[in-house]
Amino acid sequence: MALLCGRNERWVAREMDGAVPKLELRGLTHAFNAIDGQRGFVLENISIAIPERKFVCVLGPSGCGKSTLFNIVAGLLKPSEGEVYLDSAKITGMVGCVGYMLQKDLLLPWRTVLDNVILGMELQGLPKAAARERALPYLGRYGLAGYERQYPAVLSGGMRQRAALLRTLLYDSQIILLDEPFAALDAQTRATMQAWLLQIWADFAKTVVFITHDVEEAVYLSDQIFVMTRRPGRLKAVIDVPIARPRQRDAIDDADFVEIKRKCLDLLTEEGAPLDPAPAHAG
Amino acid sequence: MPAERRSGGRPLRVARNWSGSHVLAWQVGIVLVVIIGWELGARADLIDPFFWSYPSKIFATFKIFVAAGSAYADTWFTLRATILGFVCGTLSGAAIGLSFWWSRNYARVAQPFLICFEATPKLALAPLIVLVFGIGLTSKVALGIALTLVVTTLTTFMAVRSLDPDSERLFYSLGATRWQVFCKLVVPSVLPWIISSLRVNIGLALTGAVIGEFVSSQHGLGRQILYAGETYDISLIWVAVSILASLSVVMYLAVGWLEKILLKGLMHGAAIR
Repeated sequence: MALLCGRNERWVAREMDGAVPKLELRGLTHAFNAIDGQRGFVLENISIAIPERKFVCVLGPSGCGKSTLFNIVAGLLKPSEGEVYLDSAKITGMVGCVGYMLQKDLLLPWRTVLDNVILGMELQGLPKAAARERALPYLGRYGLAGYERQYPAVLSGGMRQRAALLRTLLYDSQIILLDEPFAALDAQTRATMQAWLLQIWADFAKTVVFITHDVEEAVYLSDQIFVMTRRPGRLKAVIDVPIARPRQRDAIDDADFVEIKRKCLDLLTEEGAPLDPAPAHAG
Repeated sequence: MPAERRSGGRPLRVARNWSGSHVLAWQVGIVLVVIIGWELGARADLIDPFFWSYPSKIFATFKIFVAAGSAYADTWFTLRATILGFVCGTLSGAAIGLSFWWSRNYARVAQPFLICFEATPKLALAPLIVLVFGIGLTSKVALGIALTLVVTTLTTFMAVRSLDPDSERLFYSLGATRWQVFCKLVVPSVLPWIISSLRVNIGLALTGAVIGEFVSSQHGLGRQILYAGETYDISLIWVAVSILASLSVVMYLAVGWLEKILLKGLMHGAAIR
């Protein structure tokens, strides 16, 4: 725990009171050597503990290093300092431990929807036929019935994201990282997808970490919100969202909801966002 | 309520599309006019028949070439050289291009050589290639490969570089090995690019074969053209060139068809049987 310091310690300590966290980030710092020889910090000393089966959001202005944080957790990037723990086991720099989904659906155009969804299982060495058999009922249950044998080109944006999310979920990991998955969708589809995500999260009982810069989305979806500062990204605050589940769409008008939303907005506004234009290195 | 017409506005004129038969009629008409004009011009001595020959004489030569000459053997020789050069050049070019995905450093080392070889006029090497590989089929195939290989390599390399890094990241995050990423992501993504280079390559391979035959050969349409030129048999030149042109069109159509089949197979190859 020597890496922990300053105000981050408070949050970690509080989380540590209960059970062992599912996912824990300890003192993650990521820096690169800029052209002028200076060290540029993308992330600075991020420590977060996430309990099992919780839905948490990472909320921050564009360019605060949220995606870098995810790349580190997913093992795609080695942090300059700090460690990532899954069930108290160190997984820093190891791929294949967490499911991962981006704003881009990245469906492979030459594979059917079903074959796209089984990609994770297939890469794990499961025979295609068995993987298809396992995935097929999920496609039907989660709004892709009738599209199993179609190619992604015929799907709408929302359906593509459903397929991408199912691909992530069916990959056998207990933690799912979602990096602004609905940012490219129109408002209406987005609202549908959020409700759909909450349902699927309840069904699958996984731990979800969700990146967004949309305050309403963060409050509507999550149990806990980690607000980040602008670059270099530090943890600014942790906000609990004690709104009962299952949440209906009209929960966004509740006094609690509005209060939490205002708090988040205030925190973000202190950071000069979201009014400022996005910097070149988008979050 | 009628909208007020703004000053300076004018109706957009859109040309009407001709029907298919209308277009075809024009095309046939142009061919007929050229052939008849050529024939009449030559007979009226407006066109020197010694240097340009004329259609009826060319047709007569064609009949002799087919009946008594080596038309089939020559065409088959050129066709074989072309197809072999095309297949070998395209496959090895694609393989080299794909190999660059495996190591960025290796790709960086190889790049200037690739560009050098691309810039070299490969046909200038024809005499050397014929010396090394002999006057038989091998030298023609080698020239076809020399022409198609680099183009395909560069196309494939460009395709490899334009891969979405996020897709690769997704594969790795799902625990894929490099070999899996290569087979399941890189090759299928790059295939359409390779397929798009087929049409260009078939033409290049044919050029390679004909040039090889020009330099030194005992068979082939290129050799017939060279021989006819040396003996001032202008009609035979036209005959051989016409056969070459027909060959080229047929192969182009065949490759176009192949391209369609491959692209379709690529999209539906993963379908559930």
